[in-house]
Amino acid sequence: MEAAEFDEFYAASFRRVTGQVYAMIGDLDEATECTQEAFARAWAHRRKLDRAEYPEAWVRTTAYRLAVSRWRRRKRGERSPDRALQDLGVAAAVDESHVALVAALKQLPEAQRQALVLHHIADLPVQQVAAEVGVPEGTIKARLSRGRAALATLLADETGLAGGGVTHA
Amino acid sequence: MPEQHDPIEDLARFGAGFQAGGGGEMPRTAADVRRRGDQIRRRRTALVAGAAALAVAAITVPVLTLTHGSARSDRDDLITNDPTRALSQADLLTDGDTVYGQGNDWFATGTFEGDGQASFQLCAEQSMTGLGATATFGRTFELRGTLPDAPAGPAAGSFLQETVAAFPSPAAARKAYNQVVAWVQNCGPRAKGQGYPDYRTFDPRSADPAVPDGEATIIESQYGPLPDNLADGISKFIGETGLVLVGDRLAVIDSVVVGSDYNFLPEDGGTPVERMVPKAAARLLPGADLPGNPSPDTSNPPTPSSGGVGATAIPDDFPLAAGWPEIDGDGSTAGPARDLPAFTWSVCGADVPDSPAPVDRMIASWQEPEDGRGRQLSVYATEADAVAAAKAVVEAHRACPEEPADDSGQTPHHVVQDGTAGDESWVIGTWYTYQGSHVPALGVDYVIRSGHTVLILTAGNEGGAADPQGDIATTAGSLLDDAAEPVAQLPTL
Repeated sequence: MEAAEFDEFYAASFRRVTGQVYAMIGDLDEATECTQEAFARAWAHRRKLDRAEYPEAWVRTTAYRLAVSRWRRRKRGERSPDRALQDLGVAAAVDESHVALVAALKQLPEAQRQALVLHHIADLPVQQVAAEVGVPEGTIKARLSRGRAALATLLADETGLAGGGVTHA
Repeated sequence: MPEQHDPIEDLARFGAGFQAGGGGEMPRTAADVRRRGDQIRRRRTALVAGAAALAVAAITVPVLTLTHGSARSDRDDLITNDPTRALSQADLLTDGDTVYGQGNDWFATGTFEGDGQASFQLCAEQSMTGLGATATFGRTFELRGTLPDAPAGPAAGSFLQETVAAFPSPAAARKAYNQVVAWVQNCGPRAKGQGYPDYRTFDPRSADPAVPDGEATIIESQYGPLPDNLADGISKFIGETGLVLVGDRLAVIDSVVVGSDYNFLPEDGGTPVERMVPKAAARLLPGADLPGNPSPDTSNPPTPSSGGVGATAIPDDFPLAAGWPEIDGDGSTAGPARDLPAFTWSVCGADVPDSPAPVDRMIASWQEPEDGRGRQLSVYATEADAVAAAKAVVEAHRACPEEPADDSGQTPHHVVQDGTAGDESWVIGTWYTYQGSHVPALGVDYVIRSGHTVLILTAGNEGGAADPQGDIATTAGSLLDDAAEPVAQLPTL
């Protein structure tokens, strides 16, 4: 992958992957930083990227793993203010409607949340979600079904608690 | 009672809000991200991969010396003495020839004569005999971890098989060579029939067999799905098939590993099969008569420049890795071991010579994603040799306080300071600037000479952005503190 090709890939995929990681971990700053680091690693391993069937999936998986690694959680507290790329500039604006959804997603079991994000936000077919997660398609379908039901309840509760103040439309 | 609704619409809207162009400006430019990637790569290269290149050189040099210069006449003599020696097991790769890397290596599990029970390659539609071979031998290998904390037993699903065959004529061998290349390239239907519908192959690439009139091709492939016991969602079978043609003989090196990452860049020494091709070609050459069981590592340190110290002067249980913290997260350790690649330095465009040659050497490394550390202990034949070897590294850096900017626009700077350990020691600090500003990348080498030994402690991390000199001092202090035990034992060697 040449620089121009990578730049195009980065421009096309960065926001999308950041949103997906944000939905999975519930922290936009962390999602932005991990996605950025995942893209940097993709460039460092660009031959691997050339051979990846789904480069965006590679970046998403790397970013997600970075976000959940114990190493990262520890290092985040120790980070120097001068750390490379730490000044993220203008991060993606947080839509108020996203906050409630992400808060609800965070209350789901990780497996259900991951399935919902990959299928409904990343727009992957069930077969590809199953391949990316490493479980049978039937398991993904079950997680999607349970996750949707649980999420509907959580969002309804949120709406009720907020007295209709949280807008999902 | 709140009304429930299907949240799919919310999820879809959320995704749409994060499409390209939505949600504000990009936080960093792609160029910035690439620079960061280059930093990651440079540090990894300095600590691991750059050193691997030396190991490759050590592996390939014996082959080259057999075909160039004075040693070539020895090879020619061998060929002249027995140019028609029949194909045999001696033409197969041995444990000493096979390489993988990344803390793993291939180990022979069986050798057989004839076509064997299994196909010599997933895509092979006929046996070697079916292709016209008059003699065939094969050897199988399994992949095992070589690090102290590696899981016991072979890596499930990974294997290496080499098949060598002799044909009635060079033309017949070439025909078989071309046929196997075609099979591997057009393997989709066959792979599907064997339960691997997701077969993907890459363009064949030429490789250098490093023997006269030899020819080699390598083809990589990926296929799956993996069986349930190996599936993790992202891994596949990663195949690398090398074909080597020498006269009327053909070798097929079929490597298959399970993973999602097969990241062996040319600057790191190339892929495992690329590194094995010259060795396979050298063995295949009629009359080569290479040893059947060479030392497991052709990358062993050279013989001493003078006598006095044994070739295993470092006890196997020397605590070279003592004092490092436990790996936390996605890190790794390697060694202590004698067959890890030696440290290398390239300063102001010139490689620092690893000279005089040590009589024994042991290496260990510790790596986390943004923090890499390594230790290299070398024992020399004499104290004078140790002094010369240490100063070769130190003076190369002292003579190069600032390098030209590299491809990413970053300028490396070096400083050499006196250390406080051993009979004499030095701290070599390296930091980087980009367009006049410090960038967060730091390298520190602590070179310690004690008698006829040289211990080099090295570290690469993300320091140096605000106060490079302070970060160098801090890192050097930590290196020495962590290595207190091996440093204290240097005088016992």
